[in-house]
Amino acid sequence: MPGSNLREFEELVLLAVRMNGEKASGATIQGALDTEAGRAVSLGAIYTALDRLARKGLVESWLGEPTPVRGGRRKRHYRLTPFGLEELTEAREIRNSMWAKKVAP
Amino acid sequence: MTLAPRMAIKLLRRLASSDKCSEVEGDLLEGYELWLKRGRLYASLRFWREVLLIPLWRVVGAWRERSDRVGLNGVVSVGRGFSGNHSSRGSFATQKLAQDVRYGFRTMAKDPGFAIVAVLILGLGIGANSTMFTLVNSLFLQAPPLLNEPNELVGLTIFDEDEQIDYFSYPDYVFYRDNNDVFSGVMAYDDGETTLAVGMDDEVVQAEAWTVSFNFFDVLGVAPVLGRSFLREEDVAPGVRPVVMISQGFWSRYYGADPAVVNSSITLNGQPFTIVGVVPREFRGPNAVKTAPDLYLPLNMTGAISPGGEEGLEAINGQIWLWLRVIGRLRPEANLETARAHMGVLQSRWESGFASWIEATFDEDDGPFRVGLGEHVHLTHRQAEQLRQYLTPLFLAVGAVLLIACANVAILLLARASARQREMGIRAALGASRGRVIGQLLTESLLLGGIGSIFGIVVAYWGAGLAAGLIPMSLAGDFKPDLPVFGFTIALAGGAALFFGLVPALQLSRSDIAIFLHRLGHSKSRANIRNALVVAQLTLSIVLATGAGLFVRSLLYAQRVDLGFEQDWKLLLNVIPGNHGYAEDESKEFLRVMLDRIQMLPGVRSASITDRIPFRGMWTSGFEAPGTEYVDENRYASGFNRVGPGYFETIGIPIVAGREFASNDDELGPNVVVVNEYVAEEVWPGEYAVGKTIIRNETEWTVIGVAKNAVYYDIGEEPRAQTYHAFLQDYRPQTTFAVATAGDPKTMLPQVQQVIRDYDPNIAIFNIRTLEEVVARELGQFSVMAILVALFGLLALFLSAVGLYGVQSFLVARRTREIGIRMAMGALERQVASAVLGRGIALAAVGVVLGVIAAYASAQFIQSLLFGVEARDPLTFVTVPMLLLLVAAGASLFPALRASRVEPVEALREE
Repeated sequence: MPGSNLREFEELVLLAVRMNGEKASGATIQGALDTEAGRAVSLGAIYTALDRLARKGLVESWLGEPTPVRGGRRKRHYRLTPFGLEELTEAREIRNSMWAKKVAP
Repeated sequence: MTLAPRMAIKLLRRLASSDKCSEVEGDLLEGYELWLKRGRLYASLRFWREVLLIPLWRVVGAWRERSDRVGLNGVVSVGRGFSGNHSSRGSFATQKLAQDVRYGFRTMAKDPGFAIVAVLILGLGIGANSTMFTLVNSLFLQAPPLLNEPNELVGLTIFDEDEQIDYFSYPDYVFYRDNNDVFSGVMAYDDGETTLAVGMDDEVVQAEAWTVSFNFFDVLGVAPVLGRSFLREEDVAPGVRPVVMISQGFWSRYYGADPAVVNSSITLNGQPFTIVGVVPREFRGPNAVKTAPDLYLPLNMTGAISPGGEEGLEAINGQIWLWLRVIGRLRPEANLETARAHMGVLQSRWESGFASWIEATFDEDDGPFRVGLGEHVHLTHRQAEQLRQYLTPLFLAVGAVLLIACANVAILLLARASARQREMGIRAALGASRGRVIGQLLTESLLLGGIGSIFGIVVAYWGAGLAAGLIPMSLAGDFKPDLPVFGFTIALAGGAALFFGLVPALQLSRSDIAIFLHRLGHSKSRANIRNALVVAQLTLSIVLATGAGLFVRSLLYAQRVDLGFEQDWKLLLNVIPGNHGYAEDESKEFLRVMLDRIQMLPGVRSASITDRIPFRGMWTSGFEAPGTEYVDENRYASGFNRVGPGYFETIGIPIVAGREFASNDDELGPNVVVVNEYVAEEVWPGEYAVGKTIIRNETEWTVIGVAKNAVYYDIGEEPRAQTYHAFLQDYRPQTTFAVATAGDPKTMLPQVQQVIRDYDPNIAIFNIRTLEEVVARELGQFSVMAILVALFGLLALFLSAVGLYGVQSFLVARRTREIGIRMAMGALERQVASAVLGRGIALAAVGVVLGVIAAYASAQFIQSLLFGVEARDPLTFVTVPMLLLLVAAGASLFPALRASRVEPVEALREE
């Protein structure tokens, strides 16, 4: 399987999807980025990132039933695919192993 | 929820594809709840920001998707694909762009005053253009909603040598429907304003109706929401199958959306009909301008709903009545060219009744008729012409406003350029290439344009509906910006940014290290560019302001022109007893009684009835006048009207000789006629017309009175021949009640309606309006241009004044030192001030001269829209330049005063 490049922002979005589990949606991801990363990101940016991640097979989405909270509007849910989790893990491992290296004097 | 998010949601629904809209909305609303915790204002602004950014991100997403495919990857790569292709050209360019954008934002933040002014100016200029484009887009470029594959639809049309008629007779329609090889279906419909009295269980209302061919909905590809559309056998012979389809709006209004409506019964003008289907709410018909009706009937039912029935039957069978708009759907294998050629072949096989009628009726050779395909389906040729006539000058006006706005921003940028020379010098010293510097400056301009375009979209969102309301045609549809408008605005903003950004960027990028070392003084070429820009602005302003002046003069003239009647305090309403099964004598009795009773009402000064009302034209007919040259073949043609007793008093047309109709001018009395002054002078020159006789319809009519000429067609029409007959002696079933009141006519309406309902509770009263409204609608064509162009003219004038002020202020600021020296050497305050002032006026004078020449040359293009004033009206051409010179002097005055207050010591101490 060819590798896929993760932008930093996409990585954050993936992490937010993972964090929210079954509850991941545009709004919850936005909330997570706000609270966790202190970033006020526009929904448009999140949708764009999610589209790209879905194209690369890192996330999958489905349309939920209308909920009363959202004024009867349907909600699109997202979750990580196994490949998405793998990518995310690998990205973390690369970082960890690099952090673990000694700083050259 | 506060107001702002609701507007934003509407905008979102426009911009986002419908399938995604709901989920996006949900996310937005969920976020909104959270943001509310930080305050209402924050939440609203945040909401707007989100909505406005969504289309932007869509573009980014599409671009990324493309670059994913061609292999240009992102800036930061992690994971298995960490192969370092980020050094490819594409990503380097992206990096530079991102840098420039960031830098641009920072520059803006450093000087927010400049940014705000520039964005406001651009936003107004771009917004005016986006507004106009929204109109053009919804009227010319977009098909009305719900039509299936609108590109396959084409309108049939008749070409004459110099005319184009978009209407056909019924036999013509049937011929082309049944004999062509290029259409999968051809439908026809009558979109004339037909108002019917609709009787349901316990009430009578009036509703608009179209008569349509049985395949109307099939050809358009529109399915009913309930029931079915018409069957072929329901439209083969006049009057046999009384079926009707109703609109969804009508269905929910009067039936509470009850599905049992199908197969239920309804009466139209007293005739029983069966409802067979319900037409979707969104359906607006195939025409972009017309409003869809509440009722649809088969063409062959036309006779059944016409008073008396004969006219409708004539329409179905007659070949000389051109009343049907004919639209076909091309077969998939046919293209426009083959279809066009095929129409020519078909025509040669069909002896058009209309062509032979024209030949038989008129001697002069009108040239051959040619049947072909029209330019637009959703606009008739006439509608398109009319719209073009209104929209073209407006488009030119908004274009000029944008150019002026661009020039203004360019002037501001040039002024700033001086302040930024050091910065550019440093950049050049540090090794930035000239291209890189230009790129960065252009990015700054594009940012300004981008923000201006968002502002512009918001202007268009509110402005388009407003502008559409001003155009004196009843335009249907909702005029809201959609994706094409968005694209147009962005392209326009980009173009504008290049336009205003390029010259300052080229100028500024020329800075070199020398400038860093010694700040160079005044740049000669930069000053020239600034002056040229100011002159160009003033030139354009003169052209616009002259146009505005001409339109305003037209409006003033049109408002003053003598209409021949009194428009104040007149109530008009239509009642057609013939529609409700009244025979002729019953109708006459009804009208007679109604007039008596209405006249008795307190607050009514007089009441009468009429066949034709002003601005709706008159009938045309010929008569002979024994003892004059107008006998035998020389019959005299005049417009004629049938009116009730007291008509002239009611409508306010003065009688200059003799008397007007009285209630005893009826079937039993002698046949009488009233002629207008024009007829009296032409037919019996130098004689007293009262007492003369005319012969019309082989009957003798005695002239009892002469009325003043009144307008029946257009404001400012040439006086033309008019004769009036007493309706009791020459009856026609179309009748309008005219009621002159002692106060606001609308307050009398309930009592008048009550009088009529007391007589017959089922009778339909429709077309209720005041004569003032009728006149206002006619004046509309003048006021729309006057209002809009005057608005743009003022905007242009204001922007030019700001431009001139900016240049002058800048000049004074730059030359403070020089002025200080001069004053130290003994120059007087007055001399300094008048030097600055003189320079401003000199600039303005150049602009004015050029502008007057340009305006004079282009004035003829708007001549057809003017009224009562020549396109080269001397008064306008003198006042407007004077006004502009005054404004220019005003704009230069403050900088001049500032210059005169320069303190020599302070000025010299500077640096």
